Amino acid sequence: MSVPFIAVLFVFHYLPLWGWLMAFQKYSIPLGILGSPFIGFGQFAELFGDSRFYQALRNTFAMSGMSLIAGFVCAIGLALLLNEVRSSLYKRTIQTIVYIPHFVSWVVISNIVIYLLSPDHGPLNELLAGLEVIGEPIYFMSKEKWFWVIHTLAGLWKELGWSTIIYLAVLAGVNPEMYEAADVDGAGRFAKMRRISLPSLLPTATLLLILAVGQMLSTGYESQMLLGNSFVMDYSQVLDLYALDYSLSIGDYSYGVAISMFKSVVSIVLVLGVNTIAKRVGQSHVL
Amino acid sequence: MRRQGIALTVLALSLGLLAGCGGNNSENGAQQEGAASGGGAAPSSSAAASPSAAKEPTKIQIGNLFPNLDVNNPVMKELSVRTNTTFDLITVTGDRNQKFDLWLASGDYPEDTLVLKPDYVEKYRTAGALMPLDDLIEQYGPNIKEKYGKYFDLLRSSDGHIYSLYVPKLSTEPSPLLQANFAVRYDVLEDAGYPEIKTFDQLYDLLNTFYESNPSIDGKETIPFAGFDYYGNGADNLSSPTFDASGLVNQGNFTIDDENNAQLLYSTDEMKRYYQFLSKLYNSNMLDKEFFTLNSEGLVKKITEGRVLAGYFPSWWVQPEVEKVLRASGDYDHQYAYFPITFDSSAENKSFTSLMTRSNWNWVISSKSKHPEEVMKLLDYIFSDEGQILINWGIEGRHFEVKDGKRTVLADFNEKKAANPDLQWTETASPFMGTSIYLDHGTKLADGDYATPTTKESVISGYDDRTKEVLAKYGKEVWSDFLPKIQLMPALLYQLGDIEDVRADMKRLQQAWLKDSPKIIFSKDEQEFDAKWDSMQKSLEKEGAAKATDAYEQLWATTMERYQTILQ
Repeated sequence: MSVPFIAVLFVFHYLPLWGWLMAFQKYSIPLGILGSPFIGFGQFAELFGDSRFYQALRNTFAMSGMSLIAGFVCAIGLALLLNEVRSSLYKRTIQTIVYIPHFVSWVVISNIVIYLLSPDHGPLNELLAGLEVIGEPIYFMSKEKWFWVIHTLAGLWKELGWSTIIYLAVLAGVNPEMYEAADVDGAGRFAKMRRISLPSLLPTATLLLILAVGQMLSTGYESQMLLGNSFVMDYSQVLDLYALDYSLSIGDYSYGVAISMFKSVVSIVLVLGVNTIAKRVGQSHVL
Repeated sequence: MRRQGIALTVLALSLGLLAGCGGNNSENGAQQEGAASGGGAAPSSSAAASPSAAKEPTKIQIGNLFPNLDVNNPVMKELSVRTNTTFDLITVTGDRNQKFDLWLASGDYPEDTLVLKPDYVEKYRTAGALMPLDDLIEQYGPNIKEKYGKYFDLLRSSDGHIYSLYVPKLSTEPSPLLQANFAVRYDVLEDAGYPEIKTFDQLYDLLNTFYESNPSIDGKETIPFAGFDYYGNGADNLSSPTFDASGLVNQGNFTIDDENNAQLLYSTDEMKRYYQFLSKLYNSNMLDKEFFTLNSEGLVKKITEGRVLAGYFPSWWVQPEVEKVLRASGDYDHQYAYFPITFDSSAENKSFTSLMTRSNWNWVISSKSKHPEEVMKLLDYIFSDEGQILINWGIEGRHFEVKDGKRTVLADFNEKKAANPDLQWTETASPFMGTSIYLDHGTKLADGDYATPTTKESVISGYDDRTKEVLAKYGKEVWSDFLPKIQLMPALLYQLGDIEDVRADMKRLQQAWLKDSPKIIFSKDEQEFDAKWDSMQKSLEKEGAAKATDAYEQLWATTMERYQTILQ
């Protein structure tokens, strides 16, 4: 029974791995993968010798880390709060509203963010000026150090609602008898939330955390490319954007493969690491 | 109920997906049409006249760049009849370069002919995917040889063979569509009594005067000078304007002097001078605050609010796209005049150049072709006067008429086209449209009439009365009348393609430049400006400016050497 699935997995995930050969070549399309000259670890030497690569790595970890923490804390918080809402109409309306940004592309989201933060009569600046907090409008998008924060908040807004779905599903499955028992023991709503709802969420949360950590280096590049500009380049260039700039856009495919191999290795190390920690602290684990 | 709803949605979505995939079905029905009218079309061109009417039409597989193209439109049908061929279009969708790479890597490129940029012609050639065309042209390309005349050897690649086809520059007048890129608004000019703006000092004074008397418009600040950022990296505002403002030939990332020495544009005094101008604007609060982060939608908003007085607007953008919106709302005063403004108006302005050949989307014949002679006949037919009229004007009686010995687009067709811009795809478009195989606007054919419908008259007839009035103040008819003489060049550095050894260095240099430029221009005073400029020069040096410059200088030298022997 499982043969077709394993075949699919093999064809799409293992077979293409022979393309990793390219990372050790000076690949040129006309010569093909069989004809291109081998250059050993040259691509990796170049990669690890490039200061921009370390900058990109730092930005990737920083932005992923911030998104991961903000995403987890806020999604669990929102799910817990939504779970307490009694009116089903109100709950559904809120859910729908927070889901919507997930279906909107980054192109639109980034335009909205740039418009909101614009120093040229952008709503946020108008608001701050109206409250007389600031005199001159602030040019948010040109502040290098703020980029990570702006990016994290924009991502949070886009994905927050979507990531609550799974937690809400878990909460719906919690045995009501536990709450009833707590009621009898005289627990208030906050006590129930802390002692019952939150612990029920933890196994799922750990599982999602392990999976998310594996994806830490694969941030994609759309959000950074669309929100970024030349002022904040040192803080917005993530690994995927670096690969796009220095591999695909200039046709140096070998370099791109080297970057992707590096990403794979780091991701495996991260997943195994988190998994081990989760095992140690007695939480659920994947492997 | 609910389940059913979901099932229906899924079904609708998957059908939509199928329809999307099926859109490229390019098998065409022109075949029956061709058989029906048979020899009746009686093409007189030597290329198409040879086969007898009874011969089966040859099926030619063509790489096509236009997903909207209707392969059964009247022009395509007519072309198919005249050349006794049928077309099988392989349409490129998505990123073109990636598609071309993919085609080459998989060997899955179109079988007969395709259109490629010069660097890809080179890539395909090294991979042996292209057929040398010398003998084919000799045998089946009389029109190509006739059109090229003395420039014929310019077609040759560095190994002495011809691999791709593109048109030579035959016209003696500049295209009436060509215009300068520095734009100043009509009402600003009117206030000052319509001076012709030639230098940046003049421009600064003009803008400053208007800005002082009109600091805000409808409650929002006036923006005397704006730029735009089409590719979202800020480069559009910096590199081409520097070439234009300095009257230099736009060679891409380098300047090249009379002795053929290359210099990285980012280190030139010319760029520093343009930055100083921008910095001066910034410090007098006259530069758009969002000069480096504004995307094109944002700028359109500011322009249509009537706040932008001047700027660097490439000719293909504000005038055809944004001014249309202004006119539609009855606002004629906020359109822009286009002047070739430079720092030194007495020096020769070389920024308007044209290549002797127009090599940018070239036609090649794939080495897989089973009937290259038929493909060559087709391409040669496009080079003929008849072929040019067909792909540029359309069909006589349906798209154009001959009035007093001059071709004119039918008024009726013009109106329909204005109402529905997509009409061209179902009426006159072909895979050859917009590629390097149509002759330049303003070129005259053997019959003494223009090869394309874009002529001075057609451009003037598209102007509104306000524009004509402004032009009349300067004694001109079209914006291209302001331009200096066009420089004819055998080649330009940026179209020679990338050098593999330094392509990563070039990227690094570019990023260092983009990163530092806004900070330089937004400096508070001269000292800070100079310090930041010098620090950018240091980082450029560190990123390998010298190595990249040498490599490109070498490429330029060998190219020039080759052309000099050809042109002698």
